[in-house]
Amino acid sequence: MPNRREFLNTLMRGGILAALGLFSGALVFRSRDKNSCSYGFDCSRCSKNENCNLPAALEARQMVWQIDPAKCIQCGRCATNCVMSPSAVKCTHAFAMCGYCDLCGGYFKPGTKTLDTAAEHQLCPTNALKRKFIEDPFFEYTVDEELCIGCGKCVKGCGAFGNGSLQLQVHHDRCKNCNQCSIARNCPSQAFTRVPANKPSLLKTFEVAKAATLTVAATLLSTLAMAVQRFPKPEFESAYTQPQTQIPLPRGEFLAYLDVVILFASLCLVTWLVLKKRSRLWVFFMSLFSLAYFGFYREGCVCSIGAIQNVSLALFDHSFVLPLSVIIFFILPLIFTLFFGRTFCAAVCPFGAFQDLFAFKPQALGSRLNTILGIIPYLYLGLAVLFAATGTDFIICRYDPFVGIFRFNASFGMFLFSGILLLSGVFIARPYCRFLCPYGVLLNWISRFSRRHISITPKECIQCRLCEHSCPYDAIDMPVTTKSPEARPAMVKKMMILTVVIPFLVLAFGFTGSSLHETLASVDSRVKLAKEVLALSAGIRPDEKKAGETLQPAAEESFEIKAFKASGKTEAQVYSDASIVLKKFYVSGWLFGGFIGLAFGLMIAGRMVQVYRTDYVTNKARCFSCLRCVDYCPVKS
Amino acid sequence: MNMKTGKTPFNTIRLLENISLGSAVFAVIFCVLIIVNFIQVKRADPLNTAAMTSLVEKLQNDPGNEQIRQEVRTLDLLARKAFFTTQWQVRTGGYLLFISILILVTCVKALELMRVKLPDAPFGKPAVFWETRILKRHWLVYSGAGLVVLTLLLAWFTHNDLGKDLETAVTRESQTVNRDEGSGVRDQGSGNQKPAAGSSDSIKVNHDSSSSILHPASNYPSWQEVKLNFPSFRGPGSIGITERTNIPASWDGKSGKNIKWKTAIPLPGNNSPVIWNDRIYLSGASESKREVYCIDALSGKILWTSTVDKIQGSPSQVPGVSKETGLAAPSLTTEGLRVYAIFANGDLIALDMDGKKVWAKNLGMPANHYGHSSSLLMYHDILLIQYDQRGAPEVMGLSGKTGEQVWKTSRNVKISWASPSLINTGKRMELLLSAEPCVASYDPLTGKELWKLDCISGEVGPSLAYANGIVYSVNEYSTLSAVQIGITPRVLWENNEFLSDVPSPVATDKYLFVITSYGTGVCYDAVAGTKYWEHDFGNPVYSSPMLAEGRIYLLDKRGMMFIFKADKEFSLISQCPLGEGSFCTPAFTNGHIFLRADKNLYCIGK
Repeated sequence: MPNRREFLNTLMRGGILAALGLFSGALVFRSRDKNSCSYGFDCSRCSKNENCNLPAALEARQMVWQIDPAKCIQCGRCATNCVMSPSAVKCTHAFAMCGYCDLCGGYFKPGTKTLDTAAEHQLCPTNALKRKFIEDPFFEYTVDEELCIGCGKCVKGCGAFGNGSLQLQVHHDRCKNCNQCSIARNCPSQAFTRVPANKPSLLKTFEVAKAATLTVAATLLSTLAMAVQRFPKPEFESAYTQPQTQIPLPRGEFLAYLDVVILFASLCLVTWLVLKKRSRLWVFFMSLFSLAYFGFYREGCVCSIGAIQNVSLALFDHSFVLPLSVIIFFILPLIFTLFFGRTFCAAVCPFGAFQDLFAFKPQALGSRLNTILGIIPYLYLGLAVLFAATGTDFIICRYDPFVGIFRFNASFGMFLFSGILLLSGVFIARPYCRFLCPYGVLLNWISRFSRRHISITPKECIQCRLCEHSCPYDAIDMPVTTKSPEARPAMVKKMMILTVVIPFLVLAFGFTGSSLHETLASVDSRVKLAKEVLALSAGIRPDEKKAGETLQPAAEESFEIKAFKASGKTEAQVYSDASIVLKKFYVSGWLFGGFIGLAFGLMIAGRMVQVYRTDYVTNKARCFSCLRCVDYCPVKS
Repeated sequence: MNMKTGKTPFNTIRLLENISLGSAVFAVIFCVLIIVNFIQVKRADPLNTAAMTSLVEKLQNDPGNEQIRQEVRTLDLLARKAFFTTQWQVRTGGYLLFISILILVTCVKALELMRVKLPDAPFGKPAVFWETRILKRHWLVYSGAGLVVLTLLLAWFTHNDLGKDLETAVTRESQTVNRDEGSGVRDQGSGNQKPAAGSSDSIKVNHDSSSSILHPASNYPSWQEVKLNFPSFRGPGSIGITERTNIPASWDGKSGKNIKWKTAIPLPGNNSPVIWNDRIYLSGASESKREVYCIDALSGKILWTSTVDKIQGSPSQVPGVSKETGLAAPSLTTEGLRVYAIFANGDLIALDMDGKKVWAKNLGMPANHYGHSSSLLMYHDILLIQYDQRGAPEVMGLSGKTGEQVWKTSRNVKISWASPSLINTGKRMELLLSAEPCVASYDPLTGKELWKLDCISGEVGPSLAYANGIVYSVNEYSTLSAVQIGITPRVLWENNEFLSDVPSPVATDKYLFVITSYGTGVCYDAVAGTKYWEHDFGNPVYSSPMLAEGRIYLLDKRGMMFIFKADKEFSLISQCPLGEGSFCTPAFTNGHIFLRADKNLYCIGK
């Protein structure tokens, strides 16, 4: 007969399982729903008309990043902002548009008089643009992908003085297809867009460019120049054959499902190793495999932690098509946790596995420090969901300390951050998992109701206390056989007060979060642009208005302003967009604050309930199922 | 491991310890080297070093110098090599760091397996659960309260009323649109409202609106007063439009029909007459002499002549100018208090209305191979000068009262011969200039660049036209561009079929008129750029067309004035011979036209 606690656990488990099922079902079917299109797929009502990606995206079920050359202003950020080094953005030559000019604006620096291949004449900083004589006076220009860094200088030159046949495109064989493309986040003209994986190119052909010129001439500036056929395609007298423009296709979709299969198999195997085999050594080897496959081979993407953001965005943005594989990556570890505890953390998550390697001299942190630092993941989760849901940023990916190492291309800042994290991990085991991981919050909650969680001893605990300090994660709960020193009526009174205090906390934190909405929204590119336009328009810098100063806008016009001017958008549109974002942040600020308030309230309440246990047990919420404690237990099955 | 005893030999443990220590040391070294290289890579910009820039500049000035060429190549090679070597070092260092950490981790893990680690002895009193728990609760409360306080403080210090600012801006924008729709005056400050063609065929010129922003100080004439006169080249604001009425449409220089008077101008000059009240101002120059003339509009009598000399810094040599430009090409300007004149050698003078020198200075001989020709403009108390010369192009604002520099803005443009235009966008006054590669707008009071748009090239001669929020720029061998202005200026349309070398275009709300230097007139739809008509006037034109009373007044080089309707169908009203050639643009008062021909100034009236 199950006792009352087990019955309640079973009920909760059933509830959570049902909730997860409904949630994932909703995610799967949501984007297939007509609601995913504001017009119910009635294209005649939509201004995008035939340019809409949604039907193709729904068909492809996978989206990839691409640059729209019509919006690109060749700011040069593609070369420096990509997580890949050199950038996955390359200059791509649309040969069909090329005029085969001798004086190529993309090849030669302005003012060059001697049209030869000397270094001082070349616009390309890496000599990636090759020039080959075809016949007098025509030359063929090809791009050496290995050398191209995606700076866009040649594209700018070709757009300004030529037909605009050189264009920047993401090459998907190099692109990691990050959740939130690092370049897209910083693209001043919002030229980066998600396109269906089965139509991954946005390379302009001349016909398209011409049509664009005719229809939206007023909205294009830099592209206008690009779209003009200044130099007609030559009639070659020699037997020259024009090369085909190639853009590599993205990784096959079946490989995404292979990842899912490997995730499922790994979870099954690790769960078996944890619960049945109870072998720390095999769990360790399994963690090495996960680190090798999900970490270094798959370069940390896709991962369950980052999937939080995809799911959040998909919930709030109907047009965002969430791949099935990402939904599974998000849900599967939660389901396994619900039944078997955090076996995902034990040896499947590459981040945990990586940090586990460095836990050489783990020290126990005091309960105070553990409590205070334990709040950070809630904040991180709240912020990650807030920023993803508002379409602002995917901060989990942006500040992921380990992908840079997995990819051998960490930025300097992230290299330092991950180095500090790993070094601190020598003494504070798994610092990211314990005090940062937002997915850990979900696992923590769900694992409390897990059906079969790892136990320290396979049989009766003999109270030997050998395991007492064995857990590097402070996840072993000691026996509590004494009653609380606080009188029961006083505790009941406190709990009753707490039922009033928790809503108050939710409101207080909600208010606090909402009051921070402008600060939070200031990282949003739309809000940043509106601030710049305001400053430009009024000669006042809004963020310094308080001081009563009237300041001049920056002397150097930013790329954002240049892109805005080229976009054809009105000031009113920019302000209106930013106002909408601000309102979203205001509402999200309330929700975020309320969530943190609720978390605080529940944490306090959790520390007021009566506890009685006779054995040393793992703390289901915090235990990573690493099995270290098992090795310390003298009782064997 | 000893298979018999199951114990690991001590020397194996020692070896592993040494290896792990060694790999840890290597890892630290590689880490430091990577950090150093990271900094180097960040700092390195091999193609933009000062040495390289200097060499490339030298080479551009001396393209045939093989030695410099070789130096550039050598430096380029070295810089690239250094750059790529540093990158290679970072990459290789990363791999070596990874390998050393891998070895370290492997050794430490092997040591963990080999060493039998006994659990900590279960001595000591276990922590008291309930006390710890109460402590945790308290800490949660403290940290929660701390978090709220910190967040509120952060919110307080970072709060910037952005929401309110945006709401105000949105309201302002919508009010602007509504106001414009209501009043018929289109706000071009934002540059966002698509100009729509009006429904009426009548000519509507929306150059001005409420003039509160136009006369910041009451001592100076308001824009309305300015518009009652003809104070600069191509009229008020220098956009080729006048609101004077009762303009004659018929005369004959030979027979004297409608010629009120004719006055010989002592010295030649291609500047056009400017008018304030009943006085006309002109200048003339020879290689040895420069003069400013004031002529009575009623009688044609020269009221005074002021010789421009004894100006400090005035160059002794005569500037090299083309015959078409001459030594006194820039037209004068006045605000009714003083008259200002500039000459090809850079001499600038301010005279009071009686011809007495108020101040004078030399701006330096303009490095300009055809000769300086940009006319002067006045706004408020500021004399506006476009000084686009070779090497140091700039636009400046001088105090009309003292000649002191109020502001000066350097321009990244080529030499130009165009004159500035002053427009009222409804929001503000903008000073518009045209020179390769851009049309640029400046605040006439501060010289701050408001916007610019690259849309023109070559040796720019024609000045700009403006109407209904659209600026039109044109130049030979370049393009005709219609630029919707505002914070987001953008090219509405372009055309390169008919281009002008000298005459400036003129525009209404609905039509744009471009006159080519070889004498072809073309009418375009002002908003869409559709060509309505073209007409060959038969002779070259240097004078700029003027729009008055819905008619275009076009004077060709022979002195023949063509008067036609400013409409989408070409309709010639009359053509009036002056009998004397002219390069100049006519000036207007109510009922009169003033034409400067090669040698004489004519007054034409009914």
